[in-house]
Amino acid sequence: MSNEAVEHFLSQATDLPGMNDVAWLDEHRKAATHSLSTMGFPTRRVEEWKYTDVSAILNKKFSLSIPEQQEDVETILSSAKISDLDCHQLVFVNGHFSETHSCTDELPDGVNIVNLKEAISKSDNDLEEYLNKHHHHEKNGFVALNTSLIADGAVIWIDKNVEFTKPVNLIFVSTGSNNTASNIRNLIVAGINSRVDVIETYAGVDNLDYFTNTVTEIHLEDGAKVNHYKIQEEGDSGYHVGNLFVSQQKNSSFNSYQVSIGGKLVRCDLDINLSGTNAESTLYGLYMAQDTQHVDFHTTVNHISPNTRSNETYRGVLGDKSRGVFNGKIVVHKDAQKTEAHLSNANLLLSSNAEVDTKPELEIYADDVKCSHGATIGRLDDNMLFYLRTRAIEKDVARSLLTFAFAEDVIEKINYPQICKRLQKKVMGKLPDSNVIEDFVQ
Amino acid sequence: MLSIKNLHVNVDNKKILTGLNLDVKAGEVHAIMGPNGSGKSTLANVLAGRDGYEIIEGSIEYKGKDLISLSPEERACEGVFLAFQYPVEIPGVNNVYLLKAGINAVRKHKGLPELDAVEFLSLVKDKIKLVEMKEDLLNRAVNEGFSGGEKKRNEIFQMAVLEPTLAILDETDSGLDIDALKIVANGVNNLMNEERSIILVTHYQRLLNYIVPHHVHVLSGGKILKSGDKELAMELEERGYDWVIQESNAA
Repeated sequence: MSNEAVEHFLSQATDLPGMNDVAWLDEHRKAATHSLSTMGFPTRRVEEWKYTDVSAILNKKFSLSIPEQQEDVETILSSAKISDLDCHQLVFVNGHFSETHSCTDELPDGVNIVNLKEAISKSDNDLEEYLNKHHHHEKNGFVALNTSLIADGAVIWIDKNVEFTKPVNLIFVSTGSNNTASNIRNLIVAGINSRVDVIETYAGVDNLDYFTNTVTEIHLEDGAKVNHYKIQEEGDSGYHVGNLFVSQQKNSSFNSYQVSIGGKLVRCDLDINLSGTNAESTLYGLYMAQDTQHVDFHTTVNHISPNTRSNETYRGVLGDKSRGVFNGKIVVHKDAQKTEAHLSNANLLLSSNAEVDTKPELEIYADDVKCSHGATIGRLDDNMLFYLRTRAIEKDVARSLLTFAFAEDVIEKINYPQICKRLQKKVMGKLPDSNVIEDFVQ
Repeated sequence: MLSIKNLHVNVDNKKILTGLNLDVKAGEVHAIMGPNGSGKSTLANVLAGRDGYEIIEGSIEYKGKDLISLSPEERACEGVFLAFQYPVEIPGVNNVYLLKAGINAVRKHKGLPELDAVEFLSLVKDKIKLVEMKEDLLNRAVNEGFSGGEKKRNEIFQMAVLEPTLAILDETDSGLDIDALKIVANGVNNLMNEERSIILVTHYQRLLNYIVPHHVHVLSGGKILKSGDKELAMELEERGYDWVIQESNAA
């Protein structure tokens, strides 16, 4: 089955941008194709994929679409946009850049925001230097597939010393006909001492079978600061596989905020490499699943150089018959003395049919480090529920309120009030009696 | 107002209350005293409707209604208030919004219009003075990071806002220094009127110097062994509980 799926997907590697023209890119694609053909897609026999069965994605024979006018783009786009947020915006529909919906005018000097297809056509030298720099396609079949089919996505360049304060919102929407696949490749390069905030939003229409396979590479040069937000609000029948690769040079600072609410089957991997001394990373995550949703987060933080710091906080809310998976790994390499790394994962189970598997892992090869990790799985606190009820709060409202408060602990870390507000609304919308608890977060 | 008849309550199959009778009329303050493990807090929790307390026998009638059949929130709407022995910290839930939701739930139940933000705020400002609580505690998460004294004041403040008809104060005096105790007592006394009743659950006579009870009951072994007026509390302070238990055994 896996082989069949590999063939099916690879047969679509035709007419890709720069094909048979941009040699270095062809090399990456070729290497990735080779990787995919050799390793195939992951199965549950692989430890990393033990709890997540991707055969549904492979059986459905998702296919890349051609760029075409989609009637309901406006509708879905208007719901995907973050209200009142002043930002640059790049929109992709079914994986294809949509110029009419995008808006990146008046960019300051030293900032370049472009879609990948166009960047390829200009055969930029920098692109050659950074794209797939660390051979990410070797990680797993989905990244290999993504690399084989590299076509479009966002490319963001921030030159050295440029502090770019207006956030960039990349919006990826899926709509149209069933069985559409979107293959998205994003590249963000933050030059020395530069700064940029990027928000990736994924949305799709409900009751539509589609597949988003997205890879984002972020390179932080010395002293760069990047805030990265990923808001995953795929439609209820959408499949989402996302990989984020971050490489950090010395004194760089990376903050990640991942919020996963939508989708039918969701798998997100984050690979953070603290390659330079004194680099630091802070990772926040919230995953929420209901009905029969399946959401899986795998994070790896590699402390490669001395004096690097990481702090990771992930929370999960699992209701109904949903399933959550969290695997958080910290690796402290042998030269990474004076590393400080902390990881915590807390899960709230709202139903006796919901399930979560969590595994925090520490691998330490240096001797002078400060590390901690922990995971909890719990239910709503009876004492808190009773207390609220004695204050005339109905049981269901009290449950929603406590659930919201649990999720809010992550949301409140986001420093854009507009994003917080949106996420609060989204989270609340998933809870019973949301209109009543709305008052609490005014 | 409240009539408890022959109440038997088990917790984890253990008999805690074994035939408790108590009548509380409107406008009365009742003190329930007794040694550790006598069932005082069980009584308070059963009245507020906490899960996990199995009522084996007996009845609780409150304002003509069967209290046992009501959920905790319905009881709160009917005017029952429990000031917790250990007020619960609830991270992420704003103190003042909780109170606003609470009071509007009660008002809705009574068929009154909800308070708007302005009305609510003026009520809050009014009531917070009663317990001399710092205003910045209003916008914090419920009880989170409050000192022991602040938590107890917050309980009385909530009570002042919700204006219950039956308030059960479960060891509100424990952990309070004398100044805080006076403030809390003053808050409670200010709320007393002929329509309101209070059940004070306490270990010590100390609180009763400031909130003078009409009736004092000694609870031991799950029953009320002796009832009297505030003089009984003085006597208990002096002689302890053993003589009451012995007297009861002899009878």
